[in-house]
Amino acid sequence: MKDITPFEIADSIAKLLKHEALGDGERQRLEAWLKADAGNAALYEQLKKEGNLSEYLLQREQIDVQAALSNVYHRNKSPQLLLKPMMGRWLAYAAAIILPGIVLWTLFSDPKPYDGDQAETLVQNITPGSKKAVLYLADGQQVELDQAGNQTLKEEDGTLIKTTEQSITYNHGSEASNKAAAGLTNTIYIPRKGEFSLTLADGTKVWLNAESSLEYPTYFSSATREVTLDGEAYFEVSKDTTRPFIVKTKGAAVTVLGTAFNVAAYNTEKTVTTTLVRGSVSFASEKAEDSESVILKPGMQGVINAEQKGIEVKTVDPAVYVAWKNGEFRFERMTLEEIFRTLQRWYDVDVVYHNELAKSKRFTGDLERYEEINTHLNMISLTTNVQFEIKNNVVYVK
Amino acid sequence: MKVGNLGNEKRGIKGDDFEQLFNAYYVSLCLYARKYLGDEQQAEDAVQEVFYQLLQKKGSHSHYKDVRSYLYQSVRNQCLNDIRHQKVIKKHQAGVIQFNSDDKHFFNDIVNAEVYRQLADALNQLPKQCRTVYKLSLEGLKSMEIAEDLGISVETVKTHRKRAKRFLKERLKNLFSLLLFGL
Repeated sequence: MKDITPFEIADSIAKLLKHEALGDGERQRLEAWLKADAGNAALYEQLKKEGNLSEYLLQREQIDVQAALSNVYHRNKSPQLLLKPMMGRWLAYAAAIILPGIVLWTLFSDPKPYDGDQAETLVQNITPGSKKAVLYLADGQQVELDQAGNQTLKEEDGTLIKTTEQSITYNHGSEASNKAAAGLTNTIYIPRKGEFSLTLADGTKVWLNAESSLEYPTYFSSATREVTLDGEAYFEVSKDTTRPFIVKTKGAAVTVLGTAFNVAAYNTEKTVTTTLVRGSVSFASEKAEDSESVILKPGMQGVINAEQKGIEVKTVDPAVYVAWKNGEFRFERMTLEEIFRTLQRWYDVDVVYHNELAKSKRFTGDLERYEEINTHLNMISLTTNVQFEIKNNVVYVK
Repeated sequence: MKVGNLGNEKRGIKGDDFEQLFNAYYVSLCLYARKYLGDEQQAEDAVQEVFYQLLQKKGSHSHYKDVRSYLYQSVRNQCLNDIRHQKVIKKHQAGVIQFNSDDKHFFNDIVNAEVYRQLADALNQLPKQCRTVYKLSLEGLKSMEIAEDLGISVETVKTHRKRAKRFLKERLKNLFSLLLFGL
């Protein structure tokens, strides 16, 4: 076995799989190698599986060779990992790769999954989130809203805040619209495992998702209605043609007159996504280096990526993106990595990947938000063949 | 082009040769490096560092019989260095990466990377439009959607799909019967 290089073996296997002839010496060498170790034969079996090849091909698509080459030439220490628009579209459709029957490869693939151990180990039960929020008043006072019950708080400027276990409502009387300056600033914070809704002084309704915060005045000025979001929220803006409603996020702003839309803008993530349900909004990038804006109509979605120029506009089913506010998760061809970012916030779990390939597996399905996480993991496990284990609030992906 | 013989004695690789090498191996090396580092960005950084060294003629590859040995060996060393420099130590502690530094894995990881690289190359021999159609269909798009995307007729899409299918069947079919290993 001495002096065989992995390249010789690889070349021979590649030839075989490409249906090219092997020389006698080449064939003997390969056979000897295959017999030398059970691991070698197992590797060969893996390489023969078209499902593995197609997964590998998809991974290749995610790497931008030209950008990398230019990085090397320009000695750029922070290479880009951006997807070209076309690549992005391909990836969006990549979901199908895991669905049996659609893919060409099934023509000649071996239908038997190779891992014999199908049983997933779910040790711990993890309960879903609930209505939960902390309100920070202008003087710094904190109110835990899920425990505050029904009461009426009074801000220093006279605004009345009615609280229930599920929502809060601002009321500043009828004079709000002719004030030159906005009222005091309040902040509502929704922790992990939480969601909550509120009605602002102008009647606008806001549903806030887990791990999100919204900053807003107790009443709005006569000129604009401005709020600041970190996280995900669904807005139903009350119509007022004289005062645009502006949602500011990290690096972007959504401006509307009266409409319903969802904004996902976690400061910890690279993208700000606005999905329009009704009306129309102006969605603007407010990055220092490039500012740009687009008008979104119902069914359209704008995405601003911190690492890419411009705004990507897609046509989507808005129901998918606002399902969370109606107690559902709707995942459409989403990667496990994306799905777990959502689950992490709602179940307050951490995720550790033992299997890097699992991150890019895709899953489609409608799940109930108020179920235990195990139900969802079982479902995902069944269709993606990825296994999970939960210990100490950590989901291990295998 | 026979990439395996690239590399002038005692001189660095440059210009077209360099770019050919880069285009041929960059992606495969990144996916290979990911096994060590577990992170796409770090993997790309490591591979770019290796090519940068090569471009600067710092890498001495001339005594390698096959330039591929040089590339894989260098990427592996770069990854091990990165790990040593604790860039990824936290992930290791979290058990994200299963890291095997022994020679056996090194050998088999290369076999894995190289076989896939050559199969991907084979697919790239399909005419460009045919390949695009094939890739889109691989990702689950229907003929009509592909036709719309590419601005070609549905009939053309179907022809391309058949052609790709035939090509793959001929080139990549399983060869149980051809090779009897006595497994």
